[in-house]
Amino acid sequence: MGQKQWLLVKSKKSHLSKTMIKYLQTTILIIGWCFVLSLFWAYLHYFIKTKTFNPKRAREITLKRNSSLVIPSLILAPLFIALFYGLFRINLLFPIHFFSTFSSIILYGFMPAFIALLASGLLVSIATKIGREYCYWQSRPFTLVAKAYGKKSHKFLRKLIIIKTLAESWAQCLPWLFGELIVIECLFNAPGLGLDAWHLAKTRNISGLLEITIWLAAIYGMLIVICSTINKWIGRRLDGYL
Amino acid sequence: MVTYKKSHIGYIWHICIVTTFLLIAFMPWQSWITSKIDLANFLTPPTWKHPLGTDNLGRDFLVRIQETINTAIVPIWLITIFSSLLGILISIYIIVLKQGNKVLTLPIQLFNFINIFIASIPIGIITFFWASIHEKAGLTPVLIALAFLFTIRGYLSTLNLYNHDCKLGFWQANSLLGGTVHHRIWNYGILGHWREHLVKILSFNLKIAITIEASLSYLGFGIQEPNPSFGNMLASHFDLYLKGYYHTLIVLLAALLITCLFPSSFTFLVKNLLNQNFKKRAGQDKIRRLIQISARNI
Repeated sequence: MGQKQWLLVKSKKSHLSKTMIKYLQTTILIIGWCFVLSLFWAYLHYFIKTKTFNPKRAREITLKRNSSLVIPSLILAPLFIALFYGLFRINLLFPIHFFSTFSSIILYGFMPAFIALLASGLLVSIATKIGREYCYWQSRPFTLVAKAYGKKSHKFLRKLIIIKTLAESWAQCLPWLFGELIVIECLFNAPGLGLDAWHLAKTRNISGLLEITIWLAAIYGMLIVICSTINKWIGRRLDGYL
Repeated sequence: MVTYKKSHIGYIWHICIVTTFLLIAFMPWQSWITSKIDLANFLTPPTWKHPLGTDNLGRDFLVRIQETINTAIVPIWLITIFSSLLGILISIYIIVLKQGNKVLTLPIQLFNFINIFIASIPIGIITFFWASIHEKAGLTPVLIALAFLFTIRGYLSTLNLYNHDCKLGFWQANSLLGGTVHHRIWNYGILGHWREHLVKILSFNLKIAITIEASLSYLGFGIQEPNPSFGNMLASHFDLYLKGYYHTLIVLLAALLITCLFPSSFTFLVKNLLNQNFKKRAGQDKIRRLIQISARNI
């Protein structure tokens, strides 16, 4: 290969790696926002549950109910985009990186993450699980002993319930979150791995598509390992609780 | 009083969903409404001539939605049901094969791992690969991808249910008394409490199949124009939402939502109808038994 050809290949590779880093950053930004929003939602629901808890009705809540509502992102995203633009003249579509500041790019990741959480059913799953877990752990002997010693049960149980709920909900809804992520990136024109996969599929670039699949599988695998590790750790800790 | 009202509102909601869907899907709208391209009447709001309005080429929305349901949604649902049942049967076969056969433990675990890996790949990526290799989009790659996905889901769900239930006391007691795996899976599983779980999983799969097809058609890898699909209708009208043509967005999203909610509403109504009949019969049996007991005591 001549020197000119080698320089062309080298520049192409560095362009590709920079673009890949940008796509990876956007996808990780949306997943990061999903985590932050799910944490906020869990705390909010825990606070609401502690204020509205009725011990007389606690036994009616069945532990078997585990439904989560899934509304497709194809319904939610156009609705939100049209509503926000029609009512508030706010454009929810992702901005072009070249003309945007770092903080504005971070902020624009909020709405795709919110839609991803709604579409995958993670928010509803967290809300139902927190209610169920709070009612269950309230009646446990160790909680009653803690109350007898004058400790406040909602402070005592907060960490346990929130971590357990988040780990279970994320493990349950992660496949749907990833499936919806690709569609959401295309709907919001967010330059992530999903949008890149779409463009590569349209141009029939199979090697590029394979690379994207490997990156998505790696991120998915890492999140699954984290969720299962936390679930195992919690399970071992809870084995000793009465 | 509150629970009485809540349960009745739930019933009314599910009946409305099922009735609306069946009206849209099976009434002969094409004999009453013309649905040819009519550029003079494009993007008209709902009128008596066009109950849901017209699209960007003057075609009637109601007829287009009916065509979508009949040509796209129904085949997708049939494939989903068939592939879910196939997954369940494969799972039962592998469970029976594994019994007392330690040689097959490792290959079956490898097979399970491969299935979990394939199930973790977003279905969009699988369809992108297919469309890229074959240079063709349409209903076929979507159906093939959905068939793979739901076969694996049916297989893994049944395997999960078995792995959970095989440790139950009465399962193990049956095994010790010489009962076969077939007997336990059929009598305790499929005719027992697995039925409710499997029906829930099936209705969820039916809902997800519609959203996957609509998403892929929106991205241009599913059903192509002029064949109707919720996804390609949403994609072709996307720029109009931002210009204020909200009625197209409302009509399409409402139709998609009703279609997505139909499987769960239908299974809910059927389950409650069957449960009521069962309770009536059980109630009558209880009364008969009480009469017999009281007669013996006399």
